[in-house]
Amino acid sequence: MADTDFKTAFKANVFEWLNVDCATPEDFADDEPLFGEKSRLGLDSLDAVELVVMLQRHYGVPQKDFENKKELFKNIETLADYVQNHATKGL
Amino acid sequence: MTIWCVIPVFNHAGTLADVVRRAREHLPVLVVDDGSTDWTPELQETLKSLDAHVIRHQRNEGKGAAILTALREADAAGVDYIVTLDADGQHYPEELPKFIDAIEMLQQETLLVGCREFGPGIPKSSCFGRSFANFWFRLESGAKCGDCQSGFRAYPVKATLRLECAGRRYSFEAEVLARASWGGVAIHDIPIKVHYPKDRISHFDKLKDNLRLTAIHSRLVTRRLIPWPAKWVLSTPRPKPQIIKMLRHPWQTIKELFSENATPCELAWSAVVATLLGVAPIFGFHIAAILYVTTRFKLNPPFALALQNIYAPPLSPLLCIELGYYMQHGEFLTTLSFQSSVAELHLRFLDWLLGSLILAPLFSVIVGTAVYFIARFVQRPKEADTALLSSSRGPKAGLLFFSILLKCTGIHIATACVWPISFFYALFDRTAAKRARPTLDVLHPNQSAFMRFLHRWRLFTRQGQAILVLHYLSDAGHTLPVVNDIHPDAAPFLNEKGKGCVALNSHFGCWQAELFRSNEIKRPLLFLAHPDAKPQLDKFQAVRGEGIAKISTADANAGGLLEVMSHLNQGGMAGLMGDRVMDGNSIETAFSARTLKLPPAPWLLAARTHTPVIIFLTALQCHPLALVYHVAKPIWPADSEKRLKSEELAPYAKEYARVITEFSNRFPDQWFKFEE
Repeated sequence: MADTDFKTAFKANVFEWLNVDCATPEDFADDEPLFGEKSRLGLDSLDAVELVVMLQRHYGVPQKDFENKKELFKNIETLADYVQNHATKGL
Repeated sequence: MTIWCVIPVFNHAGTLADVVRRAREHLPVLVVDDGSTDWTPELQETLKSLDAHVIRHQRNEGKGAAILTALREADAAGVDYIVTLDADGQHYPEELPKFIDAIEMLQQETLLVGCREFGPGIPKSSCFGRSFANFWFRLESGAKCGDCQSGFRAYPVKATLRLECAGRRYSFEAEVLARASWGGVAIHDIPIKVHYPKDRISHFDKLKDNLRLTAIHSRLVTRRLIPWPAKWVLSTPRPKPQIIKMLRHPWQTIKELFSENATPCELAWSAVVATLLGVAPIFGFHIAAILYVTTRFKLNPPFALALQNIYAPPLSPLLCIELGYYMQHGEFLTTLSFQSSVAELHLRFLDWLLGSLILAPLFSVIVGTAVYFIARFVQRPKEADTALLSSSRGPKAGLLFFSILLKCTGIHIATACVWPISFFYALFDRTAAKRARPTLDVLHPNQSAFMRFLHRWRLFTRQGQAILVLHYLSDAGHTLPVVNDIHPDAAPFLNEKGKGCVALNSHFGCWQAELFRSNEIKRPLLFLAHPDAKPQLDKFQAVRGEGIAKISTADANAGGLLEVMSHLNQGGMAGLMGDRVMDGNSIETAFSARTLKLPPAPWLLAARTHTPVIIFLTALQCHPLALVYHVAKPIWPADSEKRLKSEELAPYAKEYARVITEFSNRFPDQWFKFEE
């Protein structure tokens, strides 16, 4: 499990990069869905591309890791968990 | 509106009082006793106490006579409608309000028929009898009625009295429907329940009444064939035939004629009529006879006329003559001389007549059945068409025709054959014409209607040919001459491995051929496509070979974009559609008189992976037949350290729109597929 400090910083990074304006990192729960119709953020496939670009550039997580891994994009929790374990920089 | 309930009764003393009591709760009741033998003074008293009016026939005259008596009585009392129901208790008087409500709503004089809801427990013979009666009525009037045998009806009093019905018994109910329909009275169904008690007594005489019905139906059908208008019974005048409208809009009229009465059943009956008359020895009168009969019976005259061509001489008369000759002489007529063909012409006519008596019914059964099933097949609800040539217009039969033509004649003749076929599309397919109009107006401004038609024809032909070429190329081993028009900067990306690039395709010209073009590009290609296009692409993959081409569909993770990005990062070539938005995001740009919505994804991926976008365009050149491959100058979208916004990608999409515009000006006859 990713620790709370990392999650908070990670979430802020994601929100800033994607220019999310319909929610703030504070009131967006870590287990809320990121993509799909149920999500408050309503992220789409282009956002996914941008998110992966950011994770590679900022945390050094190889982009290939996210191919065919839908479950990683479920929420902040799953994503932060994976990134903290596989990041080579930016921690 | 004044309405009475009429109960004709013959020997139903047991159930009558109950029916009258229940009916009286809704309407004034008139009981017509048709000479019952079980009539008692007590019954008379009961009816009186129920406040029912009673008329008695001295002897049994039939149900029709009883209803006519009631109609005359009602007319004298100024009643507008009578609702009849049977005295044996099979009808529910509680359903009278349905009729009352319906009558109040009527705009014109209408005969309402209670259509029995047949459930379990209904005798089989009743079901059959009903379908049979409905069929006769349909034949006689051309109108439809759900239950011609039902006795629960509402008659418009004045109009019904004006009809001259001959039947006085059960046949009256069949006859009055047909005559009312001829006379202009509308006929509507009202769904009703029925009750068939086990000990129900019916006075329907299976032999006598069936004979009467047969007689009356024969009379009615014969009457229908006589071209003299039936008596008009409405107070409003008979509508004039719309000859002037027909003459002013001949095409509209023909279209209506074809689409009217075109259910599988009606087409099958039209085919039967065409066969019976087409085979008959009425040389010179076939067309007139078929037109006449199909019109009178409200079938489909143009279809019947088209079909009767298969019985055109000499084959059909010859068959009949041979058969007729064989029937008389026990051998076939083999000598064809002046003697046998001209001098004995009257004998040959006899042979023809005899032969046709056998062959016409035989053929009509075969052809009628075939037409029925073909029509049912053709008219079945359309399923989503995901076949190889999903972008094609027109039916599957057309595709089959062309694939056979391709095999037999080769690509050149097959493409030439598209011209006459697309002529009809250009002439008659209004939807396609409407869709092509804006593009054609930009390419060829200020044209006369005739020139617009020519341009449209050419455009449709090219589209058809493009589909044909794709079909041709999708068979392994088939190739077409190629005219290459490749920008020098783009050339290295086509041939050298390790140079990642986005290959941008468009729905322009012979775009699917683009896929086969990649046969020549010996480098790994990942093609991202809409899931619906998967079957089409699988075929392409089969031609190109597994391992070289990979197909990802937009329903994969993140719309397949991550897979594409990974592929680009590894120096691969990724094929994307430049003019189809698969996600909500789009960049709007002007193209050829309309706004085009373009997806930002190709530009974003190229920017993020530092690869160029290479635009592929394909056109079909016809003289000589060849594919023109245009590869434009690579476009390098700029990367950013921030999130790339749509506005930043828009200039590249606009550049792409400019490239297609330029290419479509060079090949103005190529189709651009704007909509799915």
